[in-house]
Amino acid sequence: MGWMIRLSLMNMKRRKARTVLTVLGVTIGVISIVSLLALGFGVKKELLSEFENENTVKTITGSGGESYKEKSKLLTDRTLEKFREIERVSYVYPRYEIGAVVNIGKYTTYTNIVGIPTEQLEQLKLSENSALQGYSNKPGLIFGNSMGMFFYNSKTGLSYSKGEGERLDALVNTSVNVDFGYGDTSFSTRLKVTGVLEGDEDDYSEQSQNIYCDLDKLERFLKRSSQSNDLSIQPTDANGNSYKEWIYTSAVVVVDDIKDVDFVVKKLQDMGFETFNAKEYLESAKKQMKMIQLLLGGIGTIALVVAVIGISNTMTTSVYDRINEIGMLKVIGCDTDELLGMFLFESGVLGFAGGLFGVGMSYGIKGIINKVAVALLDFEKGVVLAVIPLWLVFTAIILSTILGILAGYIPARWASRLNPLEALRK
Amino acid sequence: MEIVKMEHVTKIYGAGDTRVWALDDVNLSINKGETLAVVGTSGSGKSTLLHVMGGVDTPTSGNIVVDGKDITTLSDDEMSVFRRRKIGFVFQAYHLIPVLTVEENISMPILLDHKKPDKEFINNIIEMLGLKDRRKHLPNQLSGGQQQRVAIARALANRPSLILADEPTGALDSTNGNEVMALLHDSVKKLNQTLVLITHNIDLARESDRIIKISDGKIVE
Repeated sequence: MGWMIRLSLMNMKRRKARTVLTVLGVTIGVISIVSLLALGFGVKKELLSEFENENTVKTITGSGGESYKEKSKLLTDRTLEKFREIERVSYVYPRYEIGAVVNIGKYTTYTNIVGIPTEQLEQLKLSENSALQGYSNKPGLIFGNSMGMFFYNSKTGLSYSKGEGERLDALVNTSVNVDFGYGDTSFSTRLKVTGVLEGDEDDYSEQSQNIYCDLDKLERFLKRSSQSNDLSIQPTDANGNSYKEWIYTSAVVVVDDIKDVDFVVKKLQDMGFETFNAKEYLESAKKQMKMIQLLLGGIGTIALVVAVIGISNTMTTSVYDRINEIGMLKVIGCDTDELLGMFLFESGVLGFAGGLFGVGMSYGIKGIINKVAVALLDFEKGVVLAVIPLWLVFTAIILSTILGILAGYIPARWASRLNPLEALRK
Repeated sequence: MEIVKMEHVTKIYGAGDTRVWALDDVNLSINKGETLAVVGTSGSGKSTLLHVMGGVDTPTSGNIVVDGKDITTLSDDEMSVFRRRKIGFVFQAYHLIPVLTVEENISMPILLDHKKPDKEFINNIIEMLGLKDRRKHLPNQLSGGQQQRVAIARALANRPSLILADEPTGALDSTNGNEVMALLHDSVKKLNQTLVLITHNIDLARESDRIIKISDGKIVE
């Protein structure tokens, strides 16, 4: 064994240029596969990290869709109770959304005001000087952190955040004008802004572009107001009559485990409700990422195949070079298997070295991508676009070694089966 | 005691009209410790005789018994083992392994046999062949005569039953050739080895115990 390894290594050393070039070929092949895959993994991780949030995926939003005319499909407290009885459901809460025109001085927007139960409201992360609720019996508004860019001054065309150059925080404890409904049935009121969600204007989240308030207070306030203002804030039956119970816009159903999402979605759909869940988006996004990765990996594979052909070529030349030596080794009693082993070891070393350098240099390229590309493409600092998982390191090295051995097999077999006398004569 | 016994050995190359009888019904026996010179013109079959005796070529028919074993019945792998243990070859074109040192080249047959080289014995051979100062050198740092001495040392290293030398001085000038030949004979005598030597230098042949002449594949005298 020892002599075999030494003889192989000495021969590679003797033909330094050839060895280096062959290894370089494999290195380039491995770099292209590993760094393209790394880019794929990183981009995938970055794009999906928002969706990967377990709570988002575990949340199913159910709504009655267009079937307001059917009583059983109205989202009432009784319906929500039925949702709670479904197996594997962790908890359920209602949302009530109402469109409104909101004015901050000269700045106007049309948006939804979203009422959610107090316990859910308490989950929101508020900026420093904010409070959840005012003492008034009118609902207090909590602005999403991105809301500033949706208020426009119709004269200047500037948004609130541009025009005033102020953070939304300045609105806390001021009152804004809110017009509910439209046309004859609309009515105006002034509501206090009690809080603003934590985060910069361009920190996107599910909540950043909504205005929240306490569901109970909103419901009671609207009921009071609708009596005096004839406001149609609730769907009506086929004859245009109001239902007795309060009807929510949607129900948020949270399941125990991500695995249960499909089961509960099915149940809700069977009951006739429409559902929305991020998992579907997650899956289609994942599918697309897989396609991109396959494409990138495919390009890398071509480079590696070319490199493997390079190994085969090098080994063939090496056998030609050493044909006398092979003949003499056979004459002095080296057997076929050992000769085969010696050449396979040599081609394996070429593959292994290429894999090792390739992975090493891929780490460097990963670093460059994460610094340069992130800066060039205007990503946030700290965004990781390329990720090399540990399994990829080992797979790349093992794979290139195996490919090296396979590439060397035909020349090695030829060398080991040479007739010693003929080999000596050449 | 007989170390080689060849009976009715025939070797035919080619087929049909182009058939060549390289060996034609050869019978030969060689005793242990004997030195035998084989002479003959080129193409007479003397190299083929050496090759079939050393197990690098197989006869078309006949039996060859070396050190008590009929080598014509051996498989390729058994033949490899036979060669590394029983035969020491010396060729005209030294055929040393260029990347290995003198010492490593000499130890090669022992390493191939998966054994640890007997340092003392190797040193003994190295000294005997005057290669003491050259043991760490690579073959291309040596003169032709020195390279052939390394090849002889390699042939002796595994204490084979039979040394087969095919014109070992053919590539050397006469001074070097004589020196190498003298060393070969000396070593063989000291180690009580059997030597079969092909040469067309009749002076060199005369130093052997016995001379045979081959012509057209037959032993003629």
